[in-house]
Amino acid sequence: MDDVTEGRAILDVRDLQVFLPTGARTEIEAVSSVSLHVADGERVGIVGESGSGKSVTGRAIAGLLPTSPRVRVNGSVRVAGIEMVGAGRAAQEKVRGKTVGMIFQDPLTFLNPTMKIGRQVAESIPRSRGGDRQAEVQRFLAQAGLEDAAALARRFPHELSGGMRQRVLIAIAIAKLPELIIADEPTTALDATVQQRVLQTLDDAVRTLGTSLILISHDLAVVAQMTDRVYVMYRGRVVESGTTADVLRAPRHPYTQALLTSVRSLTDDGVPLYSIPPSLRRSLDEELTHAS
Amino acid sequence: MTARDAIVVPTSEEPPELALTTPISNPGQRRSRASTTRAFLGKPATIVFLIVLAAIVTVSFIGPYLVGNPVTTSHPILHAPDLEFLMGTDALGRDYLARVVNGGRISLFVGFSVAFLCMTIGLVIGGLAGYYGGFLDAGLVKVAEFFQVLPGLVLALVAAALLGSNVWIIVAILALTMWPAVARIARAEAMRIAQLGYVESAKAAGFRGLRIIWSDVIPNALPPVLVATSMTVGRAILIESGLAYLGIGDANNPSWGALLNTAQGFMQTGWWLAVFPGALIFLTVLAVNILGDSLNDALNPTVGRVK
Repeated sequence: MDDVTEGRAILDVRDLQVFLPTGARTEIEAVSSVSLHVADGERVGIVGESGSGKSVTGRAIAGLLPTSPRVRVNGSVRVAGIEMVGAGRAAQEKVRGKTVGMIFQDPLTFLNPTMKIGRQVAESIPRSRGGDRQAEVQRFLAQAGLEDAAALARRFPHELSGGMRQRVLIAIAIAKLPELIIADEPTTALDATVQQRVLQTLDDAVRTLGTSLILISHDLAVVAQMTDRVYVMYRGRVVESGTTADVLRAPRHPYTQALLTSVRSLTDDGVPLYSIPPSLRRSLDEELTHAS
Repeated sequence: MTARDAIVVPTSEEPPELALTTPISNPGQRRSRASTTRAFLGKPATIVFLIVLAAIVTVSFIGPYLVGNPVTTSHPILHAPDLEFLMGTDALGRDYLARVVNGGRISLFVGFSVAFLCMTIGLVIGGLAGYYGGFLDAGLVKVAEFFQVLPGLVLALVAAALLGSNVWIIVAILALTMWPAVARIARAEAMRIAQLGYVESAKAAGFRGLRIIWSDVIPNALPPVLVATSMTVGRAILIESGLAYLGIGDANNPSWGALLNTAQGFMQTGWWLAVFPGALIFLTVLAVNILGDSLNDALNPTVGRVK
């Protein structure tokens, strides 16, 4: 599944395999032989239902899986040419600190409640950059679509609304001027109107910085709006990939077709709610078992 | 004022979301400082004991400059309390008020410095153990258990016999045997916080463990640790009094407990010698514990509601 892209690849994942412990002796193969490719400045979506392994893939790329000897990662993850799998802690911290920015789902728990907003953004700016940090902080907050950045920097997270907090997370992610931003369900915790504005902000920020983006989401509409290419994951595998337009217009894999059918629209009055039928799940699972 | 009133009263400059996003059921979220202060001061008992403790502390630390010399013996002996000698005089004719005020300085110094040491050691050990887990955690918990099962009183007696009964040695021994109680709380909190989003966020930002413990784990673990520490103040004062009562203490700077030790011989002839330091130990420990409880209720709103 080698997508041919010209230019340097910011991310190259080959045959990624992640085992997570589920009990004292049992484990689950959360991700199996996933290969992904993100070119410089490209926007890539990963879609799939809950438990499809999309978040685990995102975390594995950032080296954020739990540090337990029972969490096993095989394959190769190269971020800006640096191999992350099996790399030492220092190397991983360097990549996380400079190259990859993460935006997480729940804006409430991902901000430290005892630290002012300004300092949380400032912490993300590498020390080596120099310059006026206060001005930088305000610039990034403004870039994340937050008004009155100076006053905001002196506030604590609980004084902000959910949408504002998510913007702060975006500011934190872009403050290190990363080459790749991984956004894991960035708008799932927000209501629909706020979601649109936050996506717009993310879109602007990524465009201004020329950053590559991986958008992990179960929401096909969000992925359609934000990305150039998409990977569809099911049961820890990539079942389909291609340009977002192609995949959404003419899905080839039965799972993608089922996923698209289950999308509801406001004009769907009277159309029965579609959910993926158990028979399709059985046939998909059989197919995957044979494939491996 | 009910507990619910005290929780959230949005002011005009705060966004209206505050009322919705400061739920008592969300452990990852805090009340604002203002509402915590309001909850803390909401009960009359808290204010009364806050004033009592503030008065005892102020008099103990400023008092020695106001009252007379505690070792001057040129007064009548065993003089009952009156307007000239508010707490009477002792068997050697020393002004007992001056001695009690100086004793308070020693007792409070022991109480607060032991608590401070316990909090520092507890946060460091508990933070490391809870955040890193694994072998480090197992090892540190064993160390904590070792110190926790040491009989503090006996250890202090032995140490005093070997090293002399200087007030610093007493403080060191008490801190050594009392820090595990604080460390356990800090460890439990650190374990909880290590799973939270903002720690993951800090990891994602490329920060090292020690940095995350310092700027994310410890500040957020502080509320319950402060409560545990406040309890330590009272316990340390009591244990020091017990030691001093047994004669282990700095003879040149008698604490309240040491005054009680001397007062033993004069129970029939000089009741005030036992009553004043005894009552002050009682009041101080009571005040510290009640304030600790209030602090706990103010910082953990759910606890107060269950009662």
